Amino acid sequence: MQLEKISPEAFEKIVDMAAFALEAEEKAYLLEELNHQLQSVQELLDIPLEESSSSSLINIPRVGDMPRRDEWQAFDVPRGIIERAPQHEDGMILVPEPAGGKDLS
Amino acid sequence: MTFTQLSAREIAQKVQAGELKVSDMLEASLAQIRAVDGDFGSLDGQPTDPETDKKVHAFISLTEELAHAQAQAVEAKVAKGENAGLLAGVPVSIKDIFALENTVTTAASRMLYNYRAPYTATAVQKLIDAGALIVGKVNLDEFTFGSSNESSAYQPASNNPWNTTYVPGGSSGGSAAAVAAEETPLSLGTDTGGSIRQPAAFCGVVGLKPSYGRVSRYGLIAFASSLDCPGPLARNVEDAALILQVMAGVDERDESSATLPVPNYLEALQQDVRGMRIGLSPDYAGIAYPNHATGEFEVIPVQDEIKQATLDAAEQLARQGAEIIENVPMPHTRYGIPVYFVVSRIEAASNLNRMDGVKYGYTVADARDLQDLYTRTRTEGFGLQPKLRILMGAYLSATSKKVNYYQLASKVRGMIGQDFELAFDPKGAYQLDALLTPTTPTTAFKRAEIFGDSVLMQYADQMTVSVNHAGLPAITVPAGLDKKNLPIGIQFIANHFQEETILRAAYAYEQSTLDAAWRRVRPMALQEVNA
Repeated sequence: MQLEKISPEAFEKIVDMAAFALEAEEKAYLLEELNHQLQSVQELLDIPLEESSSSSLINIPRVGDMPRRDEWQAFDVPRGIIERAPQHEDGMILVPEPAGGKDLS
Repeated sequence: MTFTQLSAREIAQKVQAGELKVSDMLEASLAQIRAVDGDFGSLDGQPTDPETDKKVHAFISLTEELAHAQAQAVEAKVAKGENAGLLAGVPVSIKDIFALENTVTTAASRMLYNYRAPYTATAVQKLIDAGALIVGKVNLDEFTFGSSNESSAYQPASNNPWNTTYVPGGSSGGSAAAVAAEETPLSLGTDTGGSIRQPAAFCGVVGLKPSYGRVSRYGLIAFASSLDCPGPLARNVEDAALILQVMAGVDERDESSATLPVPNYLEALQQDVRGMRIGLSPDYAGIAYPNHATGEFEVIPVQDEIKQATLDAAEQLARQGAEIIENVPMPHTRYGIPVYFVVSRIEAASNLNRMDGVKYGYTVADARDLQDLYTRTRTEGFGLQPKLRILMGAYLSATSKKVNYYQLASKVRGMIGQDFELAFDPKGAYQLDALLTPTTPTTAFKRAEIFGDSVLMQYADQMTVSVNHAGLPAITVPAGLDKKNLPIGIQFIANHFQEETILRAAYAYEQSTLDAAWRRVRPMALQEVNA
């Protein structure tokens, strides 16, 4: 299977998806490098794989229980997190309205 | 010998015995930083030092006040006759990717230039609890995305102390430079595809990547969560064992941390290598690199001096009773980088989605609306290399209708792991205890020589990245200098959670070369300091 190069149109879509606004010079560099990287990824498509091939073998032996039960725990000082937001008020993070003032909630 | 040339073990022992004042040790470390480091990395990047090209530039910031408070606490314990910890009075630098409460934690990115962490990473806290003095945060490639330190938004980026016109490697380049330049005897780094081992090799120091899960990732700003590993850089193997002893262990704040008991790594060093089966593989003799122009893969052999150093190390170990097993096949090693391009980029794009100008860090003023806030913040906040990684991750995720790249790469990742399983299988054909390889295909490269070629830069990690895919432990140790007087590193790899094995092998090699002439050569950046 031959991997297709990323077209300028497809590139624009992913730039938009990643929320970037790029200069022409940046675009040219990034598109060229992405296509070079894809050339490397192409090698993976040429490897014969069986359907049953297992995925990654990251192996974390455990003795006894998990480090803790999978339950959320409140951070000791939540205000310490909120206060790091660029804009906040009364313990809430402030954000601008979405485009057109639509309520997305 | 000056205080800054002492090993971490010696410092801690002298402090505990009352033979060395912690405040003197701290002042010696800070004085060394002032002497060799020059301008710290900053966003404006304007040098103030006329000799700036000869300086190391390992640091982004100092935490002197904190270090002085920690020094006083250690002194107080020593004065009361209490155990002040395994790292009592040892200055340590921290890669600026770890959270340290109420300290700016930048990830070397404009995106986090003002982010003061509300908590401390577990690995860092363990160092503090063991009596270490956290003297500052060191530079790195932006969000750890690079192998040369040059992508840092905090310029000047770190230089290689052995020759400051060369890169220190990356992404833990600031850590490696700080240790090589005797600014701190230990540094805490991270390794996602070789980011501890490659800079350690380039700078002539020891770098240890523990097994995935051996050291908690809590408080580490994530790059690729299934690959990231905190680990130490040190000037000798014993110090690497010492700091690992302190950092290793389960953490209830990191579900991927292993609940296995932590062995005594320092005791393990006392065992010799007699009977140890150490493998050499032809699949680590070169890198298979895609040529953009022809579209073909070319095999570039490992630099001759590095190949020779690896073979010499095998001979040294054989003389001490190790059994050297040649021609161990590791056929999937060549796929390490293509797999990494997929796995690390998709995970990085996902992790960096949280950088949006809303919750913390950089934000733009007067955004028209929410989308404008996101777009302008991310465009201005991220440098070119993070943008490249995010776009690659977004592309590979978005095209999943045709091929599920993550799944494909994960399957090949499994095959890379199987190579190691077969090599280490106690009932298999090779029954290895450790694999010995070069750490890097070349010694350090010049600044600006490769930067910008994201593919060639990535292939510099081909000798190290398979270990991350398989979650294994590996260590690099200095093994000589090339004809340009740049350090050579060799790597030992072992099975899951067998850190003792690689420490034993590395220590045995290190001890057998203590009298080698190359060990008496000092880095260029130090030749006028403490000469």
